[in-house]
Formats: sequence, structure tokens, C-alpha cells
Amino acid sequence: MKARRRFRWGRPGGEPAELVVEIRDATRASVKTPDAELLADFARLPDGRQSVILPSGRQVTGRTTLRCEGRAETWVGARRLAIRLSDPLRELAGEGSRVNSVAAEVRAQIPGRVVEVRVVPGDRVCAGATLVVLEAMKMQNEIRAESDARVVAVECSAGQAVDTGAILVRLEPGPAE
Amino acid sequence: MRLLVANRGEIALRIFRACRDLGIETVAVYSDADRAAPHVTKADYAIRLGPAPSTESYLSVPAILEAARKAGAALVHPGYGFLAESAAFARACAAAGLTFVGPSPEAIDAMGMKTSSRALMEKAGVPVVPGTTQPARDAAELEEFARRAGFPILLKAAAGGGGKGMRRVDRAEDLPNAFARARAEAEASFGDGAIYAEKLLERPRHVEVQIAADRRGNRVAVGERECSIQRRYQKVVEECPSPAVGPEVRARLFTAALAAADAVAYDSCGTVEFLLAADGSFYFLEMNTRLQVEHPVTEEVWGVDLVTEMIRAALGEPLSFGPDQLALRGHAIECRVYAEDATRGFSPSPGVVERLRLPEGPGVRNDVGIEAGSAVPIDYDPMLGKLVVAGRDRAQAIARLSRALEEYEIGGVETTLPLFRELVLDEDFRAGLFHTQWLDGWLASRGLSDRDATEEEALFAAISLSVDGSAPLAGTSVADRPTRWRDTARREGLRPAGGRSGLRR
Repeated sequence: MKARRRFRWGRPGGEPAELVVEIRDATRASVKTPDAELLADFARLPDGRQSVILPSGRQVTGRTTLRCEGRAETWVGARRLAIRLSDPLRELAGEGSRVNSVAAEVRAQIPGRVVEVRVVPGDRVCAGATLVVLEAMKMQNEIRAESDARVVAVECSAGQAVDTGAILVRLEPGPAE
Repeated sequence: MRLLVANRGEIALRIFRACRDLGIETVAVYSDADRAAPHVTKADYAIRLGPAPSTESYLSVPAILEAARKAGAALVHPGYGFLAESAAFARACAAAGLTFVGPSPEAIDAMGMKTSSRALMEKAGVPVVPGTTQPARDAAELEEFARRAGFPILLKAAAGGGGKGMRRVDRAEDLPNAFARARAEAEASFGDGAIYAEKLLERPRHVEVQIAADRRGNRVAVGERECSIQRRYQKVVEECPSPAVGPEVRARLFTAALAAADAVAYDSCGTVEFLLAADGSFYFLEMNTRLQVEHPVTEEVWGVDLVTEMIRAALGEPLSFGPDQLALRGHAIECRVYAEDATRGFSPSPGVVERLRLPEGPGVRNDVGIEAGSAVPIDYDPMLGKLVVAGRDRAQAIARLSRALEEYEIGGVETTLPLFRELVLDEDFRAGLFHTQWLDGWLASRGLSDRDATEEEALFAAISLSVDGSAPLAGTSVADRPTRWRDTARREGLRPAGGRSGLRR
């Protein structure tokens, strides 16, 4: 079961590092980092998680899945970690199908009632700006812009009940002002 | 004997456990969204109420009474929320020959109307926030009140709301001008310039006293709870005892709470809520005439079972303890775990609980309403459960909380666990220094996010992805298995396939 895989790890506050993993046998894997090469012990757990023991004796148990855009989602212990670990090959494959800047529709993720509309057509908003406040599950939820954009149209009004999928606001990507 | 719980989720399971302790059979009721929910599958009997919306299920009095008749229930416990503080429901149960596990409808009514309950409490000698009862004629009248109550005071429009005509005043010399402006604002907004004043409590704590009572006239105060950690007026973390309450304040709180309970001849478990100022003065807020979400912290510290006491009281039996048999032992903390994404502004996160690993070990209690595979419907309150830890003192409780939070894994829905993991590290939280607006300020000053992976964890991730020869394809792992909700969302174009959060990033 010899296999070799390359990953790019975006180190927080550092240069991206290349990690090359080679599976030696059923329990051992070597990893080459820019600084060193080490041999780790691994075991697959019955519930699908993996346990890895590094040469220092440090033991890490968790699960990692690769998302379709080539990025990993990693859980260690009970926590999901912020990790930029990508498979360069998959990333390349995904590049071609990436959608370019087109008008985006901001939709209701859950049924609810529009409490407040904070924007009007023509507004330029920053990523994270609240567009609409939607009340659902007894909570008021702020629907925010995903990226800097211009508001093209507002498709809802305060007091209106909306279903899942209803278009709330139409945005056009672009710099905020 | 059978007891029907007119509720769902963790509280239904909590009450079922008390029933089993007492040798009482359990009856669940459910909506179409909850047919496979744990509160149904763990009940001896289960009766369908109706479709998912609460108004046609858990809030439908006729459906619940019919379910009780069909299942042969003698007792009905309302839990919290839904019909728990409906005097009409308590009366309807009695009229149908059912024993309502809760206080008398008269007590529910008396405490349910907030303005009249304030007058009732004043009469009973329970401190309420000082204020002028009549609109002020001039600034001098307000100054006289301020001299009695102390600055700062808050001017409020008698006809108003929404902050219009509301003004904080810190000094006597500012009063004439503030009064004139508040009056003009109130006049312009509501066509009525009447202004009254209330003492403004700065950075108050929310402290509440647990009352246990029976139908024989016994009433006991079972400690206080500290519930100041709130997000937008919703309790998030509760503890017992309050780090701000010593024996002297505790004794005064108990006296006031018992006076409040006596005033309405309270005969079940209930809670008297107060605002506590830094100087040890406190003021009546309201009385909750039901079992509270946060009752477990009291149980852990005072060694009582509030739910069995409630059921026993409803059956006419006396409380199993008197005030002299109670002793405060240690410290307990509860975290409310919600299906809300703490890392993205607490947006609701309905879906399917794909993985559930509950914390265990010394001092840990889990009151949860979900299992691995459970659906979290969008129709109801998004609370998944409560993590309760207890220790010999507050420091040990916090250490155990920290440990338990690192063991607690919920996959498939986003939760408030990331909030608690940050909170236990905070100096002010650890020192017990907070007030009712503290958490909102704390949240506004920082973003919650997933912790960065260390190098060792990055190596782990790279190895675990390589181990299977070919990494699991996106969409085939457990974490990626589409849920009904996600399916719908994808169909509607809300979530990019494989994406975690769709547009709400």
C-alpha cells in the first residue's frame, strides 16, 4: 500500500510549507516537511477516526476530510480546527470550474420573517455588512454580505414572511465604498 | 400512575427520569417533526399531537388534553416554554380531571402580569426598582426623587417605548435640561409629554432564588443562581452559587424571595428573579412560575431533586426537606448548548446531528435532548442540551468545565460550544466579574473562530488524508453526507455543494 501524496499547508503567519506523506506499511507513514523528515505511527479507529503518534510520542486523534475545492476539514479531539491544508492537484482541477463574478442572490436559508432591511439599491457594502435581519427559531439573524458588493435590488420588505430559498437581496460583486 | 410531559427535547427526558425514580409511567406527546425524537423513543407511551408548527402541536391545549385522556395520564407536567406559564392551561387540566404539575393558576396569573406583580411585591415588602409612580410636574420633583433613590436615574416617557423620551441623568444640575428635552421628545413621539423616573442600575447582575414549595404550606429557598452571562437578554451560562453573593446578601435574598412566594401562596417549584447591584442592594424583576432551564445547577450544589419534589408536591405530598436539612456544597456551572453557529454571529443551524460525543468523568452531567442521528427541526427552540459541571469550588468547576468542553463533540450542526471554550479562558469570567451586559460587550469586541492547527495537527491531517490510499471523495465522508436540510438548501441554490456555510460567511 505504498502511496505518496503532496500537500500545501498555509502556516498561520508564515510561508506555505510543502508536506510530502509516504505510507510505508499498514501502521507507519513518513512525512517530509521543509525542516525535517519524520516517521509516524498511525491507526484507523473503528468509528472512522485516525490516531497518529509522532516521533516525540505526541498522539493526535481526529478526522480529516478533503472538501471538493481541495481544502481539508480537520477535527482534532472535539474541535474543528482552522487549517489551510490543500491538495495542489485538486486545487488545480477545481480552478477551471470556478464561477466568476456574476450577480449574486442572497437567499433566506430558513423560513422566517423579515424584521429589518438595512440596504437600498445602489448601496455599496463591505463583506460582512448586514443586509437584512431575519427572525427565525425565535432568534433575529443578520443576513450579511459575503464579499464587498453593490446592492442591485432589494426583493423583500420588513414584516414579510419568507420561505427557504426566497431571494432577499441581489448583489453585484465589486469594491465597497 | 402515568405522567404526560407537554413538552419536547431535554426537559421532557429530564422529567421522565424523575418519573422513573418515583415509579411513575411516562407519556410523551409529539409533533410530526418529532416522531423519531429521543423524548418519544424513551417514553412508555407516546401520542401524536399534530403537524410540526407549535400552535398545532405543543401549544394545542385540546390536542394535549385528548392525548392525556387517550394515554390514561393522571398528571401533566408542562416543562418550560410552550404552555408552562399558561394559567388557562393549568385550569383546563384541572377541569379535565388532570393534576397539573406546577403552581396554582392563581399564582401563575398574579405573577404573569408584570405591572400588577410589581404592586403586589411592593405590598409584600419585596424591593422593586425605585421609581416615581406619577408623571413628574417639574424638574424639582425629579430632583427630590433622585435625592431619595440616588443618581444615576433614568427618565422615561410614560406613553413611550423604543428609547424615545428616555434619558440618563447623572447630576442634579443636568436635570432641568434633561427633563425639558425628554418631555419635548415624548410629546413629539407619542403626543404625550408625561415623564417619570426610575433608578438606573449600573452593571447589575441577574441573580435568582429557587423556591421549592408544596401544597401544605411549606416553602423553602434552595439557594440562588447567577445568570448574568446573557446574550441579548437570553441566559447562556448559569451558576450556583453566585460568586457575588455572600452569606449576608444570601440571607436577605432568601427573605425577599420567600416573601414573594408567600404573597401568592406559591405551592410548587418556582424562581424569583432579582437584579443585584454592586453595593448588595437588589430589586425584584419577576417570578417564573415553572421549572427553569437552569435548575440542574441548584440540584448539583444543594443535593435536591427539584423535579421529583415538584411531582410529589402536585400529588399532595410534603417537601422531602426543610430549610435546616439543606447545605450548600461546592459549585456548579451550566452551559446551554444551542444549534447556533457561534463563529458566525449565532445564526441558527438546523440539520442532523451526525456525530455526538458527550463529555464524561467526575463532576459532569449532561441533560441533552438529542442523539447521534437526531434531526434538529427549525420549528422549535434550538437548544440541544445543557452541559452541567460541579466541583468542590468555583475554580474546580471551571477546570472541569474546560476539560468537558474539550471532550464535547457535535458534528453536522454548528453549535455554541466554541463560545464556551473561549469564555472559560477569559480572566473576567474566571474571576466572576461580569454583569448582564458583559457578554454582549465581550462578543462585540472579538470574533469567535476555530483555533489554528498546530504543526503537529497539520502533520496529523496530512497523514490521515493519505492513509486511505485515496482520500475520501468529498460528499462520501460522514461529515459530508447530505442532510435533508442541506439537500433542500442545495436544490434551492443556497449552499454550494460541499461548502460549509453557503452565503452566510
